[in-house]
Amino acid sequence: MTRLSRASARNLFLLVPPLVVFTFLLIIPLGNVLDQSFRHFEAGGIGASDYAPYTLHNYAELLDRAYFFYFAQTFRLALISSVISVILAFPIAYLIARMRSHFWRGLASGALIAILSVSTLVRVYSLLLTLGPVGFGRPLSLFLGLSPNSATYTELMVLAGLVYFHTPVAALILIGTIQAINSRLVEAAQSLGVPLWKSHFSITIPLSLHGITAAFLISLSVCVSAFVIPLVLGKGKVLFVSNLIYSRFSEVANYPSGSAISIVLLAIAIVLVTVLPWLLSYLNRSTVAA
Amino acid sequence: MDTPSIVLELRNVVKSFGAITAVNGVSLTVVKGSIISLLGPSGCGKTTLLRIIAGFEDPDAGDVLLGSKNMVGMRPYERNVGLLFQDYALFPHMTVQKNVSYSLRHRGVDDAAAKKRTAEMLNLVGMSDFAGRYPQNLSGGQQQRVALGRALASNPELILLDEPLSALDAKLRLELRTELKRILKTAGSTAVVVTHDQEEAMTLGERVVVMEKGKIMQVGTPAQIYECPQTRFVAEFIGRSNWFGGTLGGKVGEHRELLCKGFATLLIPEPKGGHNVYDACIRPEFIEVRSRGQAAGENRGGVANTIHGVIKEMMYLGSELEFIIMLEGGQEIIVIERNSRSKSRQRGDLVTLSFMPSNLIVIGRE
Amino acid sequence: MTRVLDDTLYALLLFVVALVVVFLLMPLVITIGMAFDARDYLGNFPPRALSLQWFKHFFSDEFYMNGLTTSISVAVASTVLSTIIGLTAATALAEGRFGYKQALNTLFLSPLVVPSVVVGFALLLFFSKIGLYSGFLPLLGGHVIITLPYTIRVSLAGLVGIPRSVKEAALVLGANEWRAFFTVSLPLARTSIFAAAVFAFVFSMDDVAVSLFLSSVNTYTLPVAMVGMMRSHFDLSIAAAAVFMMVVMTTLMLCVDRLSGVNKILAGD
Repeated sequence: MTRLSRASARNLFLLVPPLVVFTFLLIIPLGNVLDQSFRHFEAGGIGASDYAPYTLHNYAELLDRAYFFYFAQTFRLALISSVISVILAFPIAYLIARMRSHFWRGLASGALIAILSVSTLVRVYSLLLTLGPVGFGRPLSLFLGLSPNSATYTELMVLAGLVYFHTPVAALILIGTIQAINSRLVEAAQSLGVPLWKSHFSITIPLSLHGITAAFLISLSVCVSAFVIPLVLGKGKVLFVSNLIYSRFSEVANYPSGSAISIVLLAIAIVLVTVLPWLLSYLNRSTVAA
Repeated sequence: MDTPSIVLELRNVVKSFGAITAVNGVSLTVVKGSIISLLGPSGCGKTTLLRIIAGFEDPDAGDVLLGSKNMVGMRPYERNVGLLFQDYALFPHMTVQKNVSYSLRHRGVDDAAAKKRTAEMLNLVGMSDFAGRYPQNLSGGQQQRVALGRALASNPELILLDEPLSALDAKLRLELRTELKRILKTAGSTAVVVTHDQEEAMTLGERVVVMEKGKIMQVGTPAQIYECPQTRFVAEFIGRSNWFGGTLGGKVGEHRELLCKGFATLLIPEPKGGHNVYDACIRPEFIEVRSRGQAAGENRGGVANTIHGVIKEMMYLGSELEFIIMLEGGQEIIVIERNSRSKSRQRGDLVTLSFMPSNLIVIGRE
Repeated sequence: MTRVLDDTLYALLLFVVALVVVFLLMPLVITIGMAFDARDYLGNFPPRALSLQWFKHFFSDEFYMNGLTTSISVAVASTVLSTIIGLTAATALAEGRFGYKQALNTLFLSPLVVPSVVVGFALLLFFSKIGLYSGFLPLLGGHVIITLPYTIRVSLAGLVGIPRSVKEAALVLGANEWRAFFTVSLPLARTSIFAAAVFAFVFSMDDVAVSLFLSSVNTYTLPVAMVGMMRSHFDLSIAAAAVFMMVVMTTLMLCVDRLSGVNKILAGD
């Protein structure tokens, strides 16, 4: 055997364990879900029987107004929170990226990472405490003119949770983007008579567009699939699509419907993470240097 | 004839960063239409001074007057100063056209006038054919021209150039040297060139300001700086030098003797300053080399200093030959001779060196 | 005057950043504060007196402790499996010279794109179909698949970072490919591999969505227990549990950051 084929044989051998794991723990289960989503569900049963006929009913159902409301709510809150996260993250990222001391910059990034490493559930719970009756819930809701138990206030809490989770992530992504921009460019703009704020609008922001869209899309796709945050902060009044899937499973055992919703959610996530960025870079192919 | 107007005046500018005093009491005037070079080694404060003039730093003390207005405290965009960055700092997401017209567009100049002025600038710097290109698709020299055009577009009172030729290779540097001067002169600009490269300083600047450790050492034309340096630092920083130190002796004709211990007695021109000990410097190209035993050339009007040595190293540089000569007494000196291809020399040759006292630069030792 | 505008905008910027920083830190401070609250009812922040009662509740409660033991065992087991399998995948990707590398890369990173609910749901359906209804194995399976993308990515970054010349030097000096790998590549990549293991552990401990689907009455993780308590029995023992988890996770992540710089791993490829 030649050296090369020995090497590739070895590599193929190395790939067997991961491929097996992925096949059995991801591909087949997802395939199963896909199959289930087309099956007919008999109320009262647990999932669809293996011999249930195929139908498009589970998907057709989703076009119903009731379901549409959940998708719309999910999207609405995800969109708003992603926009807010990116807007809040940008100044933080800029300040950190332009810090002159290596030490402080490392410390600040480390702080962001430390915040992220605290488990999601803990962070969501701490928001629940803070925005609930124990914390600032009462004064805050009074200030906004809402009842602390109203749906609107709950929506705000979910929104706050999403922003709370995504701002550090967006900041970390943007730090890298901004560091890649030559700091002399803004100075050049100023020496040409343009005030600082205008220089940033015409130079820094256009050049960070790539990173901004990446941070936005990542935030959007994670928010759309969010589960824990709406589960805990939504208190049952605000339901995201993922919560819907869970209720399909835990309350009704309507697995085919849950499967259909899952497939739709998966498709949306794939579009946001793969198709959209590809489309955007295709449209932007003429300009912007690395 | 009206007195030329002063565009830039610095009065006793001081700037420190923590414990380091980068600029230590610098005073300078720049006349309209002139090009001056700020020359010095890294750390001498020239870059800090540049940033102070541009407005990115404010001095701790002293005044910065631009056309008789005090600029201290004014933001960079409130001054009418252009800046050519060392790495050009062209906006990568804009075409050449948009880069050059940037200051005009943001200053509220109307479209037609901006377009016209941009075209003028591109023509001036020779980049008219590249208006639609992006900076990444330009060579270093081309980028520099665009950067210059961009800085000149809004007709600044003063333009600062930060090491303009340092990023270019040798050949391009020669080419752009003359181009740069032409562009600046045609535009009638007043320019300050900051550099650590003495060749760049002397070819671009009509006057050279030599800086060291935050202070100005000497100001003069390139010839003055080279031929009449006032301090040892300036003499050594510009060009090559060979030094002989000694105590002052008696008069010999119109010259004085310099007694160099253990070496020789040299004739030097009457020195200034009234010191006891002096250092005399002779530039390598002013030393004449003869094979030992060869007759001296005709008397060039005066007594020459003559010393003997042995060729230790010889370097063939094409148009010149460079020698490291070991003198009796152990000192090594550098000699440069035009390559006339008539003499053939080698390592180990015994030679006699001679140089005229009038070519010596004499600086008193404190 | 433009300079006034500049200054105000800058001040505004700093103000916003300060607000955001407070917003990010305040809830954590409140949680820590409340976990030490001496009152035995849910009073307002800040607590007037401190006590360790909630921690005592947490550590003595069978419901929580079952969850904790399950969480740790699942985390350890899935970390080991995930790191090893991740390392094999990363090695193949790093060394291999085959065309479908991109496709494999996408496959291995795909669980990140799939919403965790979908993963949990899909695994539940699949496991019940093959008869694995409850217990340790389904949980383990779920945790392995969700941590694999991280272990693969981080190990890969570490292996790819080894200069080719070093590996070739080993070969020139007489080692065969296996020996070169074990004596040169592996030790050089060990901080990345360690980081990968820590990531896997942290993500496993943190997971809620997948675990909710795959847990049962007897086998459940700590986060699942906490969610259950949040819906039924809302008292401050949850806060104590939260603080406990905070301490464990942050310590682990800081360890990794000290050793290899998480910033590089997350932000750079």
